[in-house]
Amino acid sequence: MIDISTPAKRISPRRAGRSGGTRAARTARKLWDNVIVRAFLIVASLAFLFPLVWMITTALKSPADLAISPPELLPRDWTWGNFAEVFSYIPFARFFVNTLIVTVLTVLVTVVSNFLIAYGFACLDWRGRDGLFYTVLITLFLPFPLAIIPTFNLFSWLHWIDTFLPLIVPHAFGSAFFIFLLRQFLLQVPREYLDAARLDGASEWRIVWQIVFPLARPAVIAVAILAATKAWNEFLTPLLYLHSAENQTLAIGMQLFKSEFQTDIRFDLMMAASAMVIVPPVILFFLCQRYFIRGITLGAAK
Amino acid sequence: MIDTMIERREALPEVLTPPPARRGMTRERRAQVRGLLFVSPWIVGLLAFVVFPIVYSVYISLTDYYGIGTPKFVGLKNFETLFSDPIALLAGLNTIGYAGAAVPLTLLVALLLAFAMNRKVREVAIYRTALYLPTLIPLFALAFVVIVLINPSTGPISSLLGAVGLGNRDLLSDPNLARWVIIAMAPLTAGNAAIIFLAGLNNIPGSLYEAARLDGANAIQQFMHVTLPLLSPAILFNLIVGISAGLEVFTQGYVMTGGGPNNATLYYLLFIYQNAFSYNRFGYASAAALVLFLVGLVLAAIVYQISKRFVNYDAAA
Amino acid sequence: MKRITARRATATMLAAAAAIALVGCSDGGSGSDEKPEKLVVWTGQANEPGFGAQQEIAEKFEAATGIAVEIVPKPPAFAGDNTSLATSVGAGVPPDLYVMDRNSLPGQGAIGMLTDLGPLLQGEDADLLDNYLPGPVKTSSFNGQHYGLPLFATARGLYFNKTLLKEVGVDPAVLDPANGAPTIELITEIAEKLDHRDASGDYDRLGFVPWYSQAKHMTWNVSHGAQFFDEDTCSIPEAGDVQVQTFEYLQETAERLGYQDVQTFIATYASTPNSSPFFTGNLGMTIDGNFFIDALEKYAPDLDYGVTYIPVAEEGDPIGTYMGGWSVVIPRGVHSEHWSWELAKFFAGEEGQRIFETATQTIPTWTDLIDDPEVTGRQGLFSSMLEDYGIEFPPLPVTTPFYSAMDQAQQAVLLGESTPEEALASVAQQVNTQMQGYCPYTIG
Repeated sequence: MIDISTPAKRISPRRAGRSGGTRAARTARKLWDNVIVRAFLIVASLAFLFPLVWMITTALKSPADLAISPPELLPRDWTWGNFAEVFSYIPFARFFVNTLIVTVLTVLVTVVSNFLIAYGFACLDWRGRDGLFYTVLITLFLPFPLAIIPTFNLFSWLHWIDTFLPLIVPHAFGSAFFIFLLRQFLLQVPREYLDAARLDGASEWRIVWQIVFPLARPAVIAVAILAATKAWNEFLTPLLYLHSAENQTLAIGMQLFKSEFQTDIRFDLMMAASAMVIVPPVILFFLCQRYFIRGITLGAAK
Repeated sequence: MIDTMIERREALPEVLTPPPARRGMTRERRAQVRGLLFVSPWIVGLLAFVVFPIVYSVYISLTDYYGIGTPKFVGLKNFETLFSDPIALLAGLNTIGYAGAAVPLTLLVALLLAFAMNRKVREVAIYRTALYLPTLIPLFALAFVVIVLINPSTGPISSLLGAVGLGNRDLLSDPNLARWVIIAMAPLTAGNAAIIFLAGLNNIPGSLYEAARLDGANAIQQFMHVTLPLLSPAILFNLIVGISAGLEVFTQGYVMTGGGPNNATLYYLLFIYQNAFSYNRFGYASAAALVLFLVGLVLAAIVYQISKRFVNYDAAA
Repeated sequence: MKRITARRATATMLAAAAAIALVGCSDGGSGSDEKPEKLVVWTGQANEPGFGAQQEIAEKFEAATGIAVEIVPKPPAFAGDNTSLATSVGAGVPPDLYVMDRNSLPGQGAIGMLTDLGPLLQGEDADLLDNYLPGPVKTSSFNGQHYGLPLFATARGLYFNKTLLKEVGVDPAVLDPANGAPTIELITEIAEKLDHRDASGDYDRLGFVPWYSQAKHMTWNVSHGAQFFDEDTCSIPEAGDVQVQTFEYLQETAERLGYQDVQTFIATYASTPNSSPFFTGNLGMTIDGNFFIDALEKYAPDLDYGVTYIPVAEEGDPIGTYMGGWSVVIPRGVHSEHWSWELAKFFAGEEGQRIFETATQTIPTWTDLIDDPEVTGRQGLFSSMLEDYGIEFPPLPVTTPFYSAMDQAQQAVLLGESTPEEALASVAQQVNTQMQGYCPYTIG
């Protein structure tokens, strides 16, 4: 078992023991690190950033700049108005708000439900617990596409088509991955805390929210971030369930940029809209970078 | 693998739970109810989103159902049709081809990035950020960006291909090139896997390398006998995540190519989607989804067997 | 005791889940003639000027009846996409009226998504349908049952750039529609004079691309009078003569021009919004719809062009043009069939069509309007072409999958990956499997 309590900030290298060897070997290693590794990382970083950069500069191009062939990276005529035009070209603000509503509600129900379920699996003793947890783990591996048609029919019987409910409600029933992730974390909460609180007469509900929840904050934030980015990026469920123009999320609303013929696409506006779509996740990433990394690595720690 | 995920916990010390005989029964009963209550959302979810879909899919797959009216029982007809449908086969092969190329490619890129970031480079945080940023772009937006990047007249990648003599062409109108464009998008999201590898590398105790060096192991031997085995849980995890995402590839085909040209990017999920929601063939689509489900189960079983044999969970603790 | 509790808890949860499902399942819809406050129309015609025209129709209807009408855009995600209709009908919350492509109409009617208009038509004094062109009425039906009123029709013709033709020494008069339809051979001959590559070997001018824009399998096959359905066997033919001929022509042309080179040409010269290589003088001839006139007026007002009939395979073959278009339908399970029907008659009736067609430069299906200069004055050859030579695709329940299978087959043929016969056999195999569920039926 990898020690999953290893905080994310420990990600920085710590291999004092490795830099032994002769002086020549050390110099060679240093050269290797300084020059070759750096060069590789710089080239890779540039390659990975290139699509983002191109997206942003295209968003700033005028129609004349767009038609230049072969293309140039920077616009000759910086057209900041493209960003404003997106809002009149498609109901971008509406889509944005819808996506935000869906994301926020999804995160809320995800955190609450998965936390309670994980608590039940990690901090309470009851018969059949481990058996049920096996079932949770098995469902981790179930291919999701099987559920598309049945859940679609289920929600259409419930008259939930063209509402946000099918996008949000399923998250209120826990997801195997988040349950697993939170349980791993909650297992490290010392039992003595809980039992002491119970002896003091605290209700289980209070223990959950006032003692355990604050302790689990790092894991909860990681789950919230993972849930938020997933909800923000979701494509298939809004495609299936949202039909009215006023209910669309960004993923589907932005398909308005496409047309039957690729020839009619407003590349500048499409890129301006795409650039605005990634603003929330990027802000979230810079604010909580270490939680991001923790979320990713927590899940992998098996 | 599952075994190792569940940690058996020692029973609580007797002192903390002094059990008088009669109250013990009620306490235990209450604990039982409480436990079930806490996990009850998941049980409802299991019934609604796992058990019900499986049962319902089996039922619908045995009928002709157009999404309205009463399903008409047709026995195994949908499965017979499916197994003789060349488009279904093609969609399956497209998907396997995608996963088979995109997953190893992404893992390889992620491994390289992780090894590089694991070196003592002072400004590693900058690279980590840069390499992670593309994973924040939603797939549908990334698809848009790629459409722009490879536009034959105004896309920089097409111009580059033209400049190096590979010919400036409309990549998405050629079946194989369209497939490769979509595969080539995958490594852009290698940031996630790279960070997991990096964490795995960080968890390898330096003393093991020390010991290996004392035994006279060279760099390659150290990699084969220390790094690789200790990184195997991370590799397995990335592999599972990659394969399951690969088998569900959808958005790129839907947004960029509509499944064309000549069905080259008609992935299996897109095939199911089209049959269910554009052709209203819910019975047929359910049969197709069930087959994917069974394939997924078999794959999971194989991965489980492999992990039992090759993955080293204990040494890195 | 423990066990009982656990079981009881599970039972309670199951019961709760079942209750939720039951409440959701109960259908409350019933037909009512009570005057509603508002009617909702979903339309796939979501772009201007069509969208604004529909809003104008809505205002006129409100002025006449006092019922507000909301027009909601539902642009199809791909040709024949009616996902929103299917899900709303399935969920029991359909719009009161739906404006849809006639190609996918019979299929939606066949699976029960639409209200049979028969009883409503019988309630009318005169035979309402006599006011419409017969073709579009037929394609708004399935197996003899009427599901829609045709809102407009479209026709396709060959546009040619007179200036370019003169440049390479061709007298544009050879393409005068007074001479009848040109042959494909003639068009190819002219096109070859126009084809031109730049210094780097890329095309910078092409004469004619028989798969660009509205030139595609559907246009060629329907215009050339292909048979798409055999009522006796209830199937589409494995290799219809016309279909084979079309694919052979496309394949030969793709080989001659180099398919990839042509695709690159198209992507290059049609890369900015609302552009076509025909606007810029890079494409000499192109097949497009009557609605292309509007785009030409807007984006290439100075272009000196002419229009003639779709090229025929052999000298003397009958002239034909593929006639498409959209209809209004009443989804199944609407609040009030009566009021949906009133709106449908208004929308696709004389007044509605006058507004819509004038704005969109499409062709009325209301026969009295076709020759009305106020409505079709700018249509030139197209309105008479449609009246005299319009051919519609038969009302099959499988048009959407057929169309998409043919799209893929066309690509296979253009890429040289399949022979025309192989490609068509694959289409027949795919479509006929789906057809079985609807057999037998008649296409009238």
